[in-house]
Amino acid sequence: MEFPLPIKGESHGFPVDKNPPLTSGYLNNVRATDVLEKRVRIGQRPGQDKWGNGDQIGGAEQPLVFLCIVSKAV
Amino acid sequence: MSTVYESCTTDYLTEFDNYVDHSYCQTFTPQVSHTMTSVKLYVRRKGTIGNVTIGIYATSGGHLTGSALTSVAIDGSGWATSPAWKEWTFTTPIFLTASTKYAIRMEESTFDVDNCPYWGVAYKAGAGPYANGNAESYDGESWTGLTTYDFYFEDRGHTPPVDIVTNKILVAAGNNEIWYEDLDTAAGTMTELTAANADVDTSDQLVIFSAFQKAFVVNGSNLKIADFANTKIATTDVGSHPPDRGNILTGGTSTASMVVDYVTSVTADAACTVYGYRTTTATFSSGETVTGIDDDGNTISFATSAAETAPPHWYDWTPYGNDTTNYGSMPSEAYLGCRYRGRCVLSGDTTHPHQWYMSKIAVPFTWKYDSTDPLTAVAGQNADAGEIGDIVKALIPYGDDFLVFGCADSIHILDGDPAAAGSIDEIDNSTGMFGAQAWCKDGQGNLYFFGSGGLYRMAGGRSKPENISIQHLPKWIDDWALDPSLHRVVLSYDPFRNGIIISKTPLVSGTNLNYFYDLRTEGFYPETYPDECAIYSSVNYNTNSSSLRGLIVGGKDGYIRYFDDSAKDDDAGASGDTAISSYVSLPLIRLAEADDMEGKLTSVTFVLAGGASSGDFGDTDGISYEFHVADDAETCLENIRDGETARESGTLSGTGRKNRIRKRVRGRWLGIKLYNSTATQTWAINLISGEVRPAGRIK
Repeated sequence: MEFPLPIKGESHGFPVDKNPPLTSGYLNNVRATDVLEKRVRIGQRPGQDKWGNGDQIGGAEQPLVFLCIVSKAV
Repeated sequence: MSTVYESCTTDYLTEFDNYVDHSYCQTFTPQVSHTMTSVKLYVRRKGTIGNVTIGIYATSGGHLTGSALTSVAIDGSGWATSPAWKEWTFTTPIFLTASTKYAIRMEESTFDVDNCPYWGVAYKAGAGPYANGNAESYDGESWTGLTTYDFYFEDRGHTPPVDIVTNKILVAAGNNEIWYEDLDTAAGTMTELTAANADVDTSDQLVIFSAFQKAFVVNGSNLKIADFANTKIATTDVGSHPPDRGNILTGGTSTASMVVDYVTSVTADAACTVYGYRTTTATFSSGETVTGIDDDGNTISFATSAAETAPPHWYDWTPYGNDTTNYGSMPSEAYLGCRYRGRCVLSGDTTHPHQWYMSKIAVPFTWKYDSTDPLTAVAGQNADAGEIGDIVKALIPYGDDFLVFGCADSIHILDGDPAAAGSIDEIDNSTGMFGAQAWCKDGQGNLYFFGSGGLYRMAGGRSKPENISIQHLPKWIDDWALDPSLHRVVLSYDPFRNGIIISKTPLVSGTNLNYFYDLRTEGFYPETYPDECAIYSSVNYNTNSSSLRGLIVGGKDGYIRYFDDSAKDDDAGASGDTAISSYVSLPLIRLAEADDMEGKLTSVTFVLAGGASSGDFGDTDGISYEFHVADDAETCLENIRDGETARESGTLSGTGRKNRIRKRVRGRWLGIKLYNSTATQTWAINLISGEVRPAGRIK
């Protein structure tokens, strides 16, 4: 028999033996869509990497509190 | 008609002959990337010649190298014995990259000393007349530079059409500073807007919205503008008639011209800084007289105190010229802002928490209500729509159609323009919105926000909110125990992964908690990130640079990050790369049908992602597994969560179908846990199957 993979994520709303199909009661840092082929089959989530040139806003370890995009004519 | 890009047409000297083991080329460096469609050379004939082939070559170390990138021949038999311009048009044009050196070579293999083409050459002491290359000679073995000589040539072609009409600039706030993306250096490079240093308080609430090629910073009493479009000129004495918005100013010496957008003062004969859109390539110079005509027909005239300054600029956001009499007053403080129907919208004034304010349409500097002007500025107290009966916590514009007010205990929608019969209606009073960044939209325009009962969805942004998390996560609110003074909630839409990240980020210290809501499977997936990678802010950045496009997040340590499918760890900044601890318990498996019976798992087969190793499909790294059994499902799951010793366990490596595992476990319920917490590893799994046989009654 095939054992189903929890592609419907986490669920705690029902008795453990009656949880909705394809859900899990215990998981972390996994997603339904994998990073290798973007198929729905369960896999580890993508990691966070520095964006662009890797500049540190504010030049110190202080929270980056807001991001905004400005459109400018060429 | 083609354009001449590189050329040498001065300091003519003579012609050099070109034949076997005695030939030449001219190196050149395009200053602008373009497609070379033809080349013209100044040439003549000696004796009898046939086809003359010209080739374009790459260079290495400044000298011609390799085979021709493209070439073409023309018939030289009819050439005159005195020089003239001849053109070679390439059957296969070649794209030349700016700042890369190439060579034009006249092929010589069919010619001899008495029957050969001659190529016109120029001479200038020092480095020759052409600055971006030089003539080179070939003796049959190697190329030698003739640095004081350049052959007469024209590089002709065209630049490919471009569809860029706008650039996107990322603006970020952190550590009491404003940074922006410096596209002049390179896309993705952030630099500080130094004039803003310490002019904002990022420990206080702050939002930024964009309009009219500016970033409007809303930070309590700090209402500021980062202006990326206007040119700035200044004067110590603006004269008797300061310019009005929209007036055209012209420099008397430079003939530069601008359309006035904002001035810092409308006081006559006082110092003034003028921001306007320059419409000429000429620039304003220092000390020149700038003139124009104001709205009343008066002459504007003042002298600039310095040459113009190019954007970006940083200045206080005030009514035009700080003239509250004619242009109204802005709220003394605001913590929320957005653009709606061409108006700048402010709210979140703690002394007037139910109030909202809107500037005149398309004029961020006019806040005075005028009942005769259909574009008038408007606010809650002078509009039929009225003030909101709840504390406003978020502003969410939907184009020019409607504006959602996310409030403390309710959701309201402003339909249309409040100065033209627009109305505000309460959509729901059973939930509020957690905060200014606790919402996002998906690709279909649905609105999601974190409210009093979990995650809500408003279809199309205006239907009654639906709690989409309560069924699966009924304890979400209890588990997160949110306190606005201690936590920030940020919702981030990831268009490439079709999902939403809901983040609980501690403002001071503590563990961040997150959920990824998959819009395709409608499932919730809990996630945790290193402390430095906790999400404080986010934006979906549709930049012109494809490699930088997508969801980007602002971290606790000031770095901008993105979710990278090729990243197997989290880049935690100063803490270095941090392994991702990932685990999942499969849906529990009933090993027997009857309630008092057990089953026996006799074998399990895993099929890991990747097919054959190193094949076309991405390969998984290894994963570990555990088998747990129990008489009831809840105990089985509890054993997994509590880290109880598994009945059987192991580790799998490689890809594809693995050898059958013949480990036997007996019980009523089977739980299988998969996990990996190893650095530089990621995993995915295709399928798990097993053989189960009856095993008698539960003992």
